Amino acid sequence: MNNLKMMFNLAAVGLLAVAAQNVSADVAKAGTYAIDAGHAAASFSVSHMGYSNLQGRFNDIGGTFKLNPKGKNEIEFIIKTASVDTNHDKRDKHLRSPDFFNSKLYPEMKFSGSDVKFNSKGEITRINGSLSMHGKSKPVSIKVKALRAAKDPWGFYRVGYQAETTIKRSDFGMNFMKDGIGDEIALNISFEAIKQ
Amino acid sequence: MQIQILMQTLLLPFLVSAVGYKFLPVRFVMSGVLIAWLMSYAWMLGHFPIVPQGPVEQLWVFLSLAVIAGFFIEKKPYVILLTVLYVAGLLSFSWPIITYEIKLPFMLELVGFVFAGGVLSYFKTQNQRPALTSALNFSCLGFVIAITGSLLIGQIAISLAAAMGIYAIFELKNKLKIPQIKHDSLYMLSLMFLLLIFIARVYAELDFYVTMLMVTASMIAFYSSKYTTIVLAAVIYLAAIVFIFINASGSSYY
Repeated sequence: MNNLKMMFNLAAVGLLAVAAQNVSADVAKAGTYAIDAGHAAASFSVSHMGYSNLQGRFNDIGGTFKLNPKGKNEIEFIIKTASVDTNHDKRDKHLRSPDFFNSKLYPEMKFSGSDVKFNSKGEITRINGSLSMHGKSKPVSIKVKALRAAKDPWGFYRVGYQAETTIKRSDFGMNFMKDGIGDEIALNISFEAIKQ
Repeated sequence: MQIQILMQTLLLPFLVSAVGYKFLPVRFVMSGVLIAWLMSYAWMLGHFPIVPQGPVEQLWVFLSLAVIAGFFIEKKPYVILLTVLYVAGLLSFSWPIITYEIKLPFMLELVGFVFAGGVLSYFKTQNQRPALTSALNFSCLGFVIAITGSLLIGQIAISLAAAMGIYAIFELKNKLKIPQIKHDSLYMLSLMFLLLIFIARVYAELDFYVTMLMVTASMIAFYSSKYTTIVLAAVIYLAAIVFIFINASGSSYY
C-alpha cells in the first residue's frame, strides 16, 4: 500500500514537473532576437472580385525584436515587397508594378512596434505599432499567439509565434482596381526567432 | 468595372477635349487637351496628386508646366525649356532607383533616354499630322504597357491618345494636310511619351527589346513627313506587340 502511495506521489510530481516545463516553454526569455528568415513566412489573402480569396505570400522577410515583459519592448519586421509570390509570374509582375506595391519605389514594408501586450503567463498576445507601406504609415494592431519558446536541438534559444492582422490597402494609397481586388487584406505571419 | 475603365480612359478625355475643341480659341488647344487628360488622370489615380509621390504622380507636373510655359515662351527657348523639363523628369523618376540600388545597365538606359530626347530637340520635324501621330504613339504605348506590366500606366497613356482624339479625327478629315497642333506641341507630347515609357521600363518591368522597338517607332513617327514613314512606325509598333505575344508565358489571371 505504501509502495502504491509512493508511486502515485511520484507520478503526480512528474506530471506537475512536465506541466510546469510546458508553461515555462511558452514564455520567451527577455532579450534581443533576430528573425530566422528560413523559418518565417508572411502570407496574405485578398478577395478576387468576390469569387474567391487569392492567396499570396512574401518570400523575403526579416527583422529583430527586443523582448522585455517588465520593461521596454521593440519589434521591427521588414518585408521586401518585390518578393511577392502568388504562384503566377505575370500577376506577380503586375503586383510589383505601380498599380499595386510599386516595388521599385517602395522596396520594403516595415512594421515597428513597442506597445506589446502580455497575458498573465507572460506570453505575447498583441503588438500595437505602425505599418509603413507604399509611402504611408498607419497604426496597426497585430494579434499574436505564442507557440513555443525553448532551446532547439542546435543549442539556440528559439521562439515561435503566429501573428495576424487585417489592413485596408487604400489606407496606404493602394487604390487601384478596388472594385475588382478587395480593399481588405488579411495578413498572416508565422515566424521563429533566435535569441542573440 | 470595365465600363468605369472605358469611361475614365476613353470617354471622359475624348469628350472634354472635344468640348475644348468646340469652344476654346486655337491658342488654347493644348490647354484643353491638358484639362481633359488631368480629369481622367485624377479619376484613374483615385485622387489628384497635388503633392506627387512617385513618378506616376509626377507626370502631371511635366505636362502642366510644359503647357503653361507655352503661353509665355516660343520657338527655340521653348524647346530648350521642354528639354530641361524632360531631363529633370527623367532624373526625378530615376532618383529612387539611383539612391536604392544603382547599376550600370540602368545608368546606360537613362543616358539613352536623355539622348533620345536630345535627338528630338535638335532635329526639326516636318510632320504634317502631329495630332494623329501623338494619338497613334500613345495608343500603341498604352496597349503595350497595359498587357505587359501596368494597367494604370497603360490607361494614362491611352487617355492622352483619347484627349488628342478629336484633333486626330480632324487631321484625318482634312486628309492629313492641315496639322491641328503645332510642332512644338508634338515635341512636348513626344517627350511625354518617352517619360511614360521610361516609367514603364523602370517601374513596370517593360521588356528591353519592346522598349527599344517602341522608342524607335515613336521617333520615326515624330519625323514622318510621308505616309510610308507613318506606316513604318505602325509596323514597328505591331512588331513590338507580336514580340510580346510570342514571349508571353502563363495564362491570364484577370
